[in-house]
Amino acid sequence: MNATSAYVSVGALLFAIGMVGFLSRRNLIIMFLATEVMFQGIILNLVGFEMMHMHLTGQTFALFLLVIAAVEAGLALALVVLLFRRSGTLDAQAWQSLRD
Amino acid sequence: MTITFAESGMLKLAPLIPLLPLLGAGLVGLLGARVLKAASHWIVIVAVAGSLLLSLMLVGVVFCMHDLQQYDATYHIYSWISPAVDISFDVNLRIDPLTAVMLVTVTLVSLLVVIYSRDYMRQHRKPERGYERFFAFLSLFVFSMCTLVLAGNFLLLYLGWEAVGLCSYLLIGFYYQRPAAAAAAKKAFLVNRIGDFGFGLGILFIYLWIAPHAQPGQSPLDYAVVFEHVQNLSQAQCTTIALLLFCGAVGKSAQLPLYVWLPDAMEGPSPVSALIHAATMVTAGVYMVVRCGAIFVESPLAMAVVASIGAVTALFAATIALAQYDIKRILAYSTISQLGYMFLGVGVAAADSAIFHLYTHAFFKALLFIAAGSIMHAMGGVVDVRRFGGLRRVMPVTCVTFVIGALALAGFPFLSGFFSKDEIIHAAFQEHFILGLIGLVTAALTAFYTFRMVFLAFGGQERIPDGVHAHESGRWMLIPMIVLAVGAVGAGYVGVTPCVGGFAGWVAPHGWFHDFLAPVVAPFKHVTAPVHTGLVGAEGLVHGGGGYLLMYVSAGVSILGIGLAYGLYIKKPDWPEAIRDILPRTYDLLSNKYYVDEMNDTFVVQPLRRTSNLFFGIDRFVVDGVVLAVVMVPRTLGAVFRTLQDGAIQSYAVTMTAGLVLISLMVWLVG
Amino acid sequence: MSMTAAYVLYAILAMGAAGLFLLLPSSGWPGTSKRRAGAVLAAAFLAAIAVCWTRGMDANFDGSTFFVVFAIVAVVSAARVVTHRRPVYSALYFVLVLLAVTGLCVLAAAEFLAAALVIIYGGAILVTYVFVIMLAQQSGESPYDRQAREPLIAVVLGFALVAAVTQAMVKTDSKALPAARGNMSDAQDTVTSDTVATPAQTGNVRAVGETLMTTYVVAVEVAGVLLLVAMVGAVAIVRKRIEPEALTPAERVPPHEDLGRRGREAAPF
Repeated sequence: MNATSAYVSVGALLFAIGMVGFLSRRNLIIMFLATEVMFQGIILNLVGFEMMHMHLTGQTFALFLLVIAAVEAGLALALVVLLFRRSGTLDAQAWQSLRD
Repeated sequence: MTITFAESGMLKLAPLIPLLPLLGAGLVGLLGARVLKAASHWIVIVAVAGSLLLSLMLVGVVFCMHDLQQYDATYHIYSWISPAVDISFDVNLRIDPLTAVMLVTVTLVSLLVVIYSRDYMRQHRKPERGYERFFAFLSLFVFSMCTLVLAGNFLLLYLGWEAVGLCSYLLIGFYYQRPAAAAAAKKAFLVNRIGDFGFGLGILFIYLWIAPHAQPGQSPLDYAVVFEHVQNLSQAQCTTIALLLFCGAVGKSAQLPLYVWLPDAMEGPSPVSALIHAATMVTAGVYMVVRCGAIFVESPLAMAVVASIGAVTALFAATIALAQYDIKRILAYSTISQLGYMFLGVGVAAADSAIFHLYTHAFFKALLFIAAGSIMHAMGGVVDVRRFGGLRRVMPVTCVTFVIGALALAGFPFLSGFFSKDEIIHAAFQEHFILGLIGLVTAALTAFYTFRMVFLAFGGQERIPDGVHAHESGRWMLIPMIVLAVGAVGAGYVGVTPCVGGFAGWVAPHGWFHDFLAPVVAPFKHVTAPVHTGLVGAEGLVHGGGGYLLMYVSAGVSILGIGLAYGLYIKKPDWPEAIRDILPRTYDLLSNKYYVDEMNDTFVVQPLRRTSNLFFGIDRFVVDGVVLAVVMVPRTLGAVFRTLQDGAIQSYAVTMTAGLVLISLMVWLVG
Repeated sequence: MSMTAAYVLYAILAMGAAGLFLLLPSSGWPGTSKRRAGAVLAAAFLAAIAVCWTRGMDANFDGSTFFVVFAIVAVVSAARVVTHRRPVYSALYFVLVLLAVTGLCVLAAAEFLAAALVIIYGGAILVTYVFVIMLAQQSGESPYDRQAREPLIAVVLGFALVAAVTQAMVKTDSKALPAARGNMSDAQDTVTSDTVATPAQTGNVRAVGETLMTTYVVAVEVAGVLLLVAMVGAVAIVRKRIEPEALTPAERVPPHEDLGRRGREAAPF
């Protein structure tokens, strides 16, 4: 195992933990926090592979990823506020009207 | 001889005989409820009168044909359907003496009954509910009966046969809101259907066995073709066909064992009983057997069966009538009994006598029924003979006509019924001693129960049910009764010849009527020696004929019956009760009609019901179960898959992730 | 030999998954004993992983202890983000994750990224999260915070994913290139040229800046536009409408000048 593998393994762990949180928590905000955790895992992944290749592509990609994360967080939170206003709860299971 | 439209001359009007009433039925049916209402009867009267006139004209045509040595004609109207190249089923009419006689009988009695119905179907001068419907159905019935009689092939005969059955159903169930009437109509139709099943089979076999012998261009179901080729059939074939055709006659003409519908059919209005169940429809069976005489005479077994069933039915029904109290039921059983006489006549090869009896019976039975209807009308619908009495002062005309009809039914000498019944008894004695004896005994019983009915209704103290204003009926009802009474007295004289030294010194049997019918009943004459030509000095009572002695005997028997009824019901009114107390079980048996209906119910109806319930259960559980099982498969699958679509985002995310993980696992493990 | 290593790995991962499962909020068992069991399992898992890392690390990687420390902190904090019942605490634990990841980036000689992470993520995004948590809060602990939905499936899937990703490292001996810091081996991508100043010479920030402005300048512009759009979009989504009755007379617009809109759009603040 070398550094890249270590970083990739940490990244995978963070990604998986974030995924578990996204799939199992019912609070909308926690769900999005969990996606942010997943983002961190991805960043670690990118950094790890950058170490392997000795190239700056990983960092730059991570920076753009940061931009995307910010954008996503902003829009997601706007939507969460809207949903909260509409139904008074942050429960993700309150929005099931598209069911069969 | 086949006549086509072009050369038909006066015969062109023959199709109008059934078509005029049909047109009347259509008009009344369509316009009756809104437009015609109380005037609906006029159309039907006009239509049936037109048919009567045309029937009389037809008699004239047949006379002309006689003079030309032409004894029957088939009038081809049009070709209906052609299943194969050389075979076609046509609509053609048979013009011969039998047709003419039947048509006159049917249309005349129908006209009188329609005129009678105009007043009968009214309550205090206001038409009853369904007045127009009644006349429409009545007119439809006249059409059906005329078609049946005029038919020139078995297919058209079957059409008329079924149509009269239908009209009977419609008219018996006229008061359809009464459960008894609805049940009676259903019973009539179903029992008729049983007979018609045999009838249909018979026609099928005719087709099957005649078709190989028919020339190309001839339809195997035409009367002319069938009777021409009957000799080519074996005796077994003829027996089969004859017995199957007789099944239909048994059903339609209410013989044993399919008679059970006729007493219940009295739920219909009295005109219906008079027309359909006395004079016309029930005689269709007799007509059919006489028409197919060429087939029946080839089979001695069939003739024996016909005669036996006729005789037994006559006796059986007469015994039941002894213990009934419903005036219409008594008349119904007497109809069954008289029909038995007619079949007895056919069975002993005295077909012209049978038709003669049919003709006279139409008059006096219709008269009796409409007179009974007149009584019912006056008594407010009461039919039980025990509840009214002594009506001779209240309803004199009805009383006189009813008595005339009763005398004719009982075979009182010099009235029409006497001549016709006597001929049958003679022929029966010639065939077999037992048959003749049954005929005589039944004649005695007939006289007895008929006058029992008369004395109970018209004799003794005047007894009227409470709250009823008894009055004589109006003109519209009385005139047909008077006409029929005249017929009951005088119609028989067309069948006798005045001659010196005959019965009572001036009359002898076998008259113009029999000569007219001779060509039609010719096949029967080959079987036995000519029956009853009024031979003077014929052999003794036991073997053959009996000459005028038998006529005196049957006259005496009928007077004896009348006298006995007089004694029991006028002179000593408490004796009938005493007799009943002596023979309680016999009385119960007779009064309950030998429990035939109950036996039918137990042995036929209930098992059928249970079988059909079984099949219903199988249909519902097994067949539908299979279908449901097939249905359940997509349903269950859908239900299973539906759980994936629960609208929650996270569950969709889980599914997506599961897919992703699955792919990565596959890549890892396989790739 | 590598097979047993793989099974060992799976066992460790399974332990960690079980621990995570037990730590997830649920209202079945009495919470505390479940959480204690989960904590024990998770601790064991972390110890095992730390052992793996330390043993497997190359000698030429400086700061492997720092790596292990930061990695442990990151994983623990991530687990707490996901399993804590109160949203505020989750946000705070996320900050901890952030810092740990930043440390790991610094260790990987990606200083600019580390700085950017702290500033942008910790300074902006997390603050926004905390604001929204305050805004959309219900008093006390809400039922949806107390019960996780389908934790078993989620944990199983997570376990499967990590197993699939990490087993390659165990099975195959690493044929990866030596990842020495400061190694100037040829780049694998052909996108950048050799004339780019390497970090060893010029410092990371400068190198990153030059790369951004030369090779990825279009992407930078697009990112800017994207940010603008997102900002506008966020504002547009969350705007409230005010009914006409709530307006002051001066604010009311006569109907024919209304251009077909009911009420007047309220300013977002």
